[in-house]
Amino acid sequence: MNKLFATLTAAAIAASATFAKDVITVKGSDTMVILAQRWAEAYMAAHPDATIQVTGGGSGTGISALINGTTDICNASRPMKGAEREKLKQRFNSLGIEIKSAKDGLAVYVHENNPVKELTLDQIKGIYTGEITNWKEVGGSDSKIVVYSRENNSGTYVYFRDFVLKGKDFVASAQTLPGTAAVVNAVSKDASGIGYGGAAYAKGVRFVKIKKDASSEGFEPSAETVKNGQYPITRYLYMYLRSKPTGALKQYIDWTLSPEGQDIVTKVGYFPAK
Amino acid sequence: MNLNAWTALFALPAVVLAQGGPSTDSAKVDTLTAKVAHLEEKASNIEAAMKSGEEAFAEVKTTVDKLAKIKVGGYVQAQWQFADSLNQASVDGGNFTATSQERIMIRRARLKTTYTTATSRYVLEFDALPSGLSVKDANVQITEPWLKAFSATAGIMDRPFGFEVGYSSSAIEVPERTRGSQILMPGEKDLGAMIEFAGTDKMGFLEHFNAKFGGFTGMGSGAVENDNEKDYVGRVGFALPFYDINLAVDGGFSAYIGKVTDTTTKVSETKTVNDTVTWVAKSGTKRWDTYDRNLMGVDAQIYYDLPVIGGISLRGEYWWGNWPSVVGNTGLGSLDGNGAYLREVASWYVMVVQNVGTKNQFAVRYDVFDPNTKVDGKDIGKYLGTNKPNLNDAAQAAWVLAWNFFWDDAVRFTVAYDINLNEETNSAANPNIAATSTPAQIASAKKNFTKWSKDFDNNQVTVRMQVKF
Repeated sequence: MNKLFATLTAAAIAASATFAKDVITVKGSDTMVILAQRWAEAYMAAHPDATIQVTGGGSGTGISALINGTTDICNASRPMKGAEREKLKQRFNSLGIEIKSAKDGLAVYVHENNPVKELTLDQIKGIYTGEITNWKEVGGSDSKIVVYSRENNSGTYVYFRDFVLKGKDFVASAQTLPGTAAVVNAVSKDASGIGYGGAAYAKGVRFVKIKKDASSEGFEPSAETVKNGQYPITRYLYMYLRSKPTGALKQYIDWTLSPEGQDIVTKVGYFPAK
Repeated sequence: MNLNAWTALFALPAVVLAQGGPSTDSAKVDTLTAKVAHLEEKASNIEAAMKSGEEAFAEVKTTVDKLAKIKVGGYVQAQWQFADSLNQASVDGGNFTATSQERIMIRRARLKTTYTTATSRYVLEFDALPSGLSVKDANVQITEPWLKAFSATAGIMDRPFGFEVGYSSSAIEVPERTRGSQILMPGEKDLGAMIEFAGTDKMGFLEHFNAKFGGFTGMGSGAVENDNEKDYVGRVGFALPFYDINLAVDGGFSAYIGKVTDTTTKVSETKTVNDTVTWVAKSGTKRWDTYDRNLMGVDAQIYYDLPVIGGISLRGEYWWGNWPSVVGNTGLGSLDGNGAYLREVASWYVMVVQNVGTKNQFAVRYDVFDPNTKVDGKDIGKYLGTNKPNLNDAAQAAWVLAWNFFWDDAVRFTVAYDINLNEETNSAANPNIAATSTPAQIASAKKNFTKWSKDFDNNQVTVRMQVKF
């Protein structure tokens, strides 16, 4: 009996060894996908032996992949939830490693011709929860507000709901789109539209200045306002790993946090983590 | 400007160029006008088709959003087992038959449907085996909409006791739960109602605490209520994460406070009489008397990420209490016509699980179940007779060694080896034979006690494949 167990185990472990691989896989946040691609391209150019595969899908998708063991690095534009940590703990006996890889100002976009220049956090909350439905209620023209949002597997969606909407649900009429680029595209074509997403994506739309409250000054997301905390909606962009990185994975992570890697963060339109 | 007008505007120069330049020829103008009109009509058709598509998309999206609330999942565990002997008693899927020591079987085949809204949840789970279909979970849950921390559940669900009972059978790192868990909490489920608190990340320090408390029939998921007594079960737990060092310390305290009704007047308890441990009839018992079925439990789990190797966890659990049961079975449920046997039970285990990379996981567990802590192994078989301690009072233990290989996110292979140990009984070489024993009983008892007087061969290997979706 002992020999049978030992034989079965040895044979199976030997078979499992054939599945070892050297490719680093990165999956998750759509907000971070351009940044992750730029990192991968630059790193592979400097390290020809390295292979880094980057895909998006949303923070929730990336976290699921981390838990399922199908990605090495999960990109997430929100912190992992307690329940997700629990799943990782159950499968891998580890809480996971969180790495703050960049900082982002979560921008609110409107059409270039929209006369509304600034909004308070409460007004944004009102628009996205359906309490405010017409632009004239916030100093704009008399037109119905068309709300664009993200799908619920998006870290940006979760962060916006938790931080800006204080956990309240999005208005039912909000149109959900599969990526920040899609939100920007929709708002750029809709004079009554409003959307949110990473500051790096804002092409063809205009930032709204965000005010903490009615009496405070409004700010657009910029390196300075995000870094000094003046811009009210800032967040970290994370990389999550199952365990402490070693070998090629550690080299890559260290490089993304190096001045060279953080320089790419700035070029893409985000802000250094430190 | 609508789509028709834009299309016409952009199409015009192309049409004009196609004609070789401006012309005053009225026929050409007419031709151009007709072509523009034709293009406008086409654009109009396209616009109508797009609007129709948008409407269809909106309808589909509404349907998809509704369907997204329904989740269907499940798993199948197919396994091959090899035992040391024919007819071997086993807790890993039931006893082997008298003519087999190896078998292929479907251990579990689950299909679970969950419908979730913002404040409610419905769960229905079946186990479809060749031996029959059974309901594993059938419950409804509502969650208060404000803090989303308190919920109430009613139906068939896991008993909120200890750590192992609520741990999914698809996730457990060795083939089966411990012997104590299987005997005292068979099937893990019971029918009842429960309230639950689960701290959220907006609740500060309370985020790390949870509590469950419920009233259950005490009959298990497959049986119907047989009396007015309810079993009250609860657990208060904590989960303390130390993210900076990737360490987590979890644990809890559980209580099972219940009663069981005896339909006879034959109630026995273990006592030491004249230096001899024996079953003694309890005096003054009446039909329909109830007896306490109480169990306490503590559990702890520590998780840590070992550099280079991977995550490791150390887990342990200890249960103790009073557990009235029938003569031949120390399990949960109603008593039978042979009366109640009042036992003090204990069950514990320690377990280490080590992940190596993303594919491999190794587990070692040692567990002990003592169905009667008042009886020592050497008290069993010392005397023969129906009122003397028997093999149902003997403790059993097991080392379980398991290796799991995760083929992908759905498929897991398990190879496990159970080294089963038994409390060594008296050999019954010179038993004091009770007058009530028949020659056949004496012969059988002598044979069994002789077997149990040393650790006998009852180890087994399990090779399992699980597919989960």
